Amino acid sequence: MKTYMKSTVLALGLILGSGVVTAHHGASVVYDLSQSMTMTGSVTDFQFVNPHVLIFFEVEADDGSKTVWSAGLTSPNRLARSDGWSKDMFQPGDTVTITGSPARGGAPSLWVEMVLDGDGKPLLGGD
Amino acid sequence: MAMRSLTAAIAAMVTLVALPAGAQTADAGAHGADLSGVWTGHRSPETRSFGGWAFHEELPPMTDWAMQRYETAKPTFGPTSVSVADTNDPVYACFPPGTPRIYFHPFPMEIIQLPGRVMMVFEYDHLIRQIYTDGRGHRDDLAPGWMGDSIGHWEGETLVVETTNFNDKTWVDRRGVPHSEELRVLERIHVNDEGLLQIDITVEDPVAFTEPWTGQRFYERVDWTVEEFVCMDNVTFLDFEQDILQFEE
Repeated sequence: MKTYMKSTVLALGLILGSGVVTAHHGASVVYDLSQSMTMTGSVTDFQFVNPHVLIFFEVEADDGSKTVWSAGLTSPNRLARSDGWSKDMFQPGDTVTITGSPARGGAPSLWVEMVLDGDGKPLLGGD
Repeated sequence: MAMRSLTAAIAAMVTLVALPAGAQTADAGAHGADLSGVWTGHRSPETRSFGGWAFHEELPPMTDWAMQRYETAKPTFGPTSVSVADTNDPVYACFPPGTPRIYFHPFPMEIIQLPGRVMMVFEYDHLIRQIYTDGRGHRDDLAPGWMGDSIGHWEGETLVVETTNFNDKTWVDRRGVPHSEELRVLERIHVNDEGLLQIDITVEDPVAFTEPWTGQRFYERVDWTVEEFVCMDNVTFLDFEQDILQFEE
């Protein structure tokens, strides 16, 4: 795990203060909000559900091994109202690039700050 | 805007139909202002660091009784926050957050004005508050409740609300500040010069606080509809978060 994490970590801490991070219940306990990393992968599941929208995406490491990462966001109602998201936002196989705070315990999970689609277009944050 | 006009028109028609002649005074059920519509929380930059979970960064003036309870609270917000898995916040057992804590939940609410009554319909778990403005007094036949018993009246364009008859199982904010059954919440609600719904709150509870204290919440009007947010869905997220916390490489 450490191998590909190293290769994909970008701009640690850069996003702090951007205002994109939405505080949630105990987020700072589970995720290190002072850190930031970016992962690109292929969507395996998209759950547009309360209380937090979840994106699952498969990331291929330099050695060819694959890991499914999760990415937690705010509520679907908020994403729909502020960012025009919907339940049909992602299909399995879609490419996403997600920037977020890593889980403190090293689990493959991010608390999302920014989401880009396969063309690098911002779907959340990045402005 | 069209919706608000329609709501007002319906309210006016209901007034005409529902009130028998002479049953109440001519203006019974009338409202001093139109607060109706969907509102979402508005936080000023100066409250950004704490406005999501408390009225003030400092703790309110708690009695020893309250301090003892505060020290056992395990909130998920604020300086003493723990993970969802470790919290004893009653809201995570899906009990209602109570009043005024309901204002901290980051979801919109709709104000609906009916003759003699102002209703607040919260997106969060579809909780409601019914604020009677028809001159009736507080109920004295009910056991203490979660959201309290609200009676209101209009002072000009300001809705003045007194809420009592609370149980002592909720917190007044999201950082774990407790209250007793003696809690009395006074609210002055009006649309201010900036067009924001301004709620000036005074919290009184001689068991929990050494003196009354005040707080404010602001809402901005939005062109939304109140959607669904079911508390029990939080359970699914707790499972998700547990998996992350228990991860081993």
